Amino acid sequence: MGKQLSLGTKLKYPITISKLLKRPGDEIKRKEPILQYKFTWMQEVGDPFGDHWEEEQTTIADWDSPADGTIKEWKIKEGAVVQNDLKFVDIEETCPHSVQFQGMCGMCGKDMTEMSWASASDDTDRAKINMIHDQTALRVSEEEASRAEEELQRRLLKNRKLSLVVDLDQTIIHACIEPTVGDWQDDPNSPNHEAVKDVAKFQLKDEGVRGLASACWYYIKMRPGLKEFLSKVAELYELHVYTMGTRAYAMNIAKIVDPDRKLFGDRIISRDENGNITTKSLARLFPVDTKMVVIIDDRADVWPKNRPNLIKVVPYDFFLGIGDINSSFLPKREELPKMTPALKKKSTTKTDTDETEATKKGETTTSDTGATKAVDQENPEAPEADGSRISALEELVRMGGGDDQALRLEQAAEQEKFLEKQLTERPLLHMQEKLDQEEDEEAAVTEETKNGDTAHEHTHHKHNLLKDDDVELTYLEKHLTQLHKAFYDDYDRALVSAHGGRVAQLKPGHNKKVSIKDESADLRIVPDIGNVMPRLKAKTLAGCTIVMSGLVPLQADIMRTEIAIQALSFGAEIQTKVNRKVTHLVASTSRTRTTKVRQAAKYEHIKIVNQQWLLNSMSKWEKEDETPYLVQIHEQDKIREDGFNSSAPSSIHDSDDSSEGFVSEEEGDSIPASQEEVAEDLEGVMPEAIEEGHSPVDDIKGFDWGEIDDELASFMGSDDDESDNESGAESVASDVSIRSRASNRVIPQKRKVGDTTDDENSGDESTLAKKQRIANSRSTGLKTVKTPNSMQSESSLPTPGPTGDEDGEDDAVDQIPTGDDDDDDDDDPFGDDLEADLMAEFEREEEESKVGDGG
Amino acid sequence: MFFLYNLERQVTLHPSYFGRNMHELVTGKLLKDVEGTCTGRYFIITIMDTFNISEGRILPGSGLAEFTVGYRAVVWRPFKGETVDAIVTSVNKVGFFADAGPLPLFVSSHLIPPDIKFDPNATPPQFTNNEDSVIEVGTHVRVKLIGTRAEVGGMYAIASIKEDYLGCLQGS
Repeated sequence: MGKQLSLGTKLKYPITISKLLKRPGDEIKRKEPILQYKFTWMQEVGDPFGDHWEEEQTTIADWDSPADGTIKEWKIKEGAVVQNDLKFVDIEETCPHSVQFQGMCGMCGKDMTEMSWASASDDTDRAKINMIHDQTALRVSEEEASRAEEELQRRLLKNRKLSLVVDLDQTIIHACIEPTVGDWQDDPNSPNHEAVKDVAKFQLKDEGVRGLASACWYYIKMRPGLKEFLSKVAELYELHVYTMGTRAYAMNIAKIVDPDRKLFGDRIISRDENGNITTKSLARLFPVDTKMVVIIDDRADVWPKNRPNLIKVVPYDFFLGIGDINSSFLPKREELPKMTPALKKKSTTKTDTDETEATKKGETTTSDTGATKAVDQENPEAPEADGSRISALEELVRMGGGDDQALRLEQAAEQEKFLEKQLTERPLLHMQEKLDQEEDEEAAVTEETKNGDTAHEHTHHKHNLLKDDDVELTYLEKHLTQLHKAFYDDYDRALVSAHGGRVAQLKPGHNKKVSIKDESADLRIVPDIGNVMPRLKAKTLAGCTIVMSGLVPLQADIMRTEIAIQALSFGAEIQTKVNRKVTHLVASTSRTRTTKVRQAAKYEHIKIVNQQWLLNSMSKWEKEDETPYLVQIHEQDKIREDGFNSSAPSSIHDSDDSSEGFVSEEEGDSIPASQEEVAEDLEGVMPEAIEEGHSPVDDIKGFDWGEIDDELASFMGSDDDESDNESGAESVASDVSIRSRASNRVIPQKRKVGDTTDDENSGDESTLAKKQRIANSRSTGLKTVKTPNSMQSESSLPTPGPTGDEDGEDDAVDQIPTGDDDDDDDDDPFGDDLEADLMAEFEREEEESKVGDGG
Repeated sequence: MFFLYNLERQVTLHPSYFGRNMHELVTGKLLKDVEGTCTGRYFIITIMDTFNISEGRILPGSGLAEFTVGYRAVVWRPFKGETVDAIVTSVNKVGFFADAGPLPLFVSSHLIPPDIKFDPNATPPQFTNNEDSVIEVGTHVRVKLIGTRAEVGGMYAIASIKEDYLGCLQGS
């Protein structure tokens, strides 16, 4: 191995080379002088009388070789004057020390930690890369690593395979140590018996975990279809396991998942060998080149450097609320609140196994009176609340910054705590109990409402908590196959073109040469998964411009959130504001009343969908049909809609006007830039709205009404904004009862006849009509339908809607002041009564004046 | 290489053990403390016998009695160039690991004859020349140590099978 030696920075330059002690071809040994040089320096000299002066001294010194080998070529000559550090000789080293084990060279057996006066640098630094799965003591140099990797790539190309790094927890299995699982397993009468009967278990006896968790059973649930998935995928990929669990844990899992060790072999890396507590890195296994590596993991944040290679998998959450038992020390999962619909599905319907049914169910649920919805939405709260999750405060702290420099011990201790908690608290048991309880309540509710539909829906007498209905692996298999194909298609194309070029070039040359060149060329033309996969993924949501609502905490930078990063990687464009270019508004199912929803509702082309649409699209790698995911516009908005349709067409104009005044006012003091967008909004919406139910005369008068509305607004607070979404609201299947309620409320307004006939007054009137209706609806909301919703809403209802499902929650988020969502419904709770009074007052005045006018 | 070695050690005994069978206790404690340890230069394999158990001396302050015990032990000191038998513990593309008794050693692929190649597709992964030599986890191999290094409480070695009569042990 060739190596150049340099003089080093510690010499007193300038130096003069006085003699070269070795010739090219000579063998040199470590610490042996190979060169003599001299230098001059000033020495301070004194005499006994206290005088000091400096004298020039010339010193001759030897330069000792730091390495063993043979000299190849001198680059300096005797007598040369060297001004500074330079590489002066080429030597051929006896051993490059490129594989080191425990501080010894794996090739020559020398102790690498030995230092002497001659050594230029620490020899251990020459081999620093740790690329072996199950060893940390073995390190290799960069050359060695790339050699090994090249070999690997060649082999993979030959077998037409790729590397696949597989995460364990929540990706292909779900583990928990909840003893309840064991009980359920033994008890054939348990509602969960069916689901847990094929759960594998093992004990980790020799692990460092002490205390309560030391001899516990680990229950391992394989993701449905795992065996087939792995055996199929193993034909296309070489599988590696990369887990944050301990080695013993990983080995045990591998034994369960892959009993004959055919799939993973020894390619298992655990946190014991990872070398980093919080992140995984492909560089640990593929230090030089990751272009043929694909990762599947349920967490994207642990792969900060390898995102292009990552296929993010929907976490497998079989044991609800348990989460990942091996990630207690990781930063909190920054996941969108997506489980809501999934849980809803899981906890209410027993037979739902496939997506379509689930969505169907979603439809029926939301279009019901709300009774079922209410029950549904309570359930997802349960695991969230009493599951062994970390408290909200802690979560915030964790998300705030990288506080995890915890040592391995700390890590183990934390996990231990986590495990013990699981053992003692038995969250699953509690959840099942709660579920049973809820069921009873639910049954009561169903009877009460006498709604045939809901009754039918909930006839299952015994609910089981655990559902075995995960289908992620089928998609995953599809993606992996697709990816593999795309990769090798690219490769073949590149190969053909490379061949063509070379064949033309080397036609007269002999065959052997060509094949050798082929080999080396092979690797250069290998496409990069990091390019191929993003390209495939980007097709998914290409052309979608997405705005999110209620999914990301307001103070967070949306572009850095997990969901946004992912959506971007799927080709979507993320916007923070609703504007005309936006194609999809992804709204949280629990917060359907945000300003963005209302704004988006004004555009007919914007599809307002729930987050499940986005998640499913990203999971399936194809844009899902939006229809099943359309968000139901809030009940109040439905009322509005009915109002328009049936009786007060002119009010559309009015609402627009008022919203104009309002939105611009609000936005004006929050973010000036947004005004433009608002203006855009109006351009886009106004004409439509007018066409819908207006005579052109309105336009002439419109200006005045705007002013009046402004005035009103200053009295009323920002209530008017609620009407924003009505104008362009998606047509929603609304319930008959709501409709009737709505029309009841509109009818009492005497104005109604005037509305249709007297255009001049319509703006005024309808504003009032709206106020009136809101006031009415508030009062009716208290006495009409008795749903769990209403109970909830009365307590903290900020808006005067009859059923403000999640408004309390909504506000909590909306109120965070920095965000781009405006907090329009926030100031309401205070002004409700006042508002009502005012409205009544206003109306009276208006009527009087009208009467005066008319007369 | 194995040696019979005369050694000496200070053994302390808690006052609660003072009594008639003190010498047995001291010997027992010695066995427990010493057997199977690595001093940094050699492994103490077993203690043959003890002799010369000195009179106990009470340590001021703690009340423990200290005995100086002379003993004869079988020790193993791995030397550079020594040939040892070992059992393979782990195989990877860079080489394989093996244990020669208490000594973990590593044989890198550079020190494996070129005809014995790593086959990652085999289950389990192995080094093989596709004939009689198959080195996988559990295989008995004969290796030559070419370097040793001691750390606190342990020793490590680099070994080679790139010589005649080294490598896979047949029929063992």
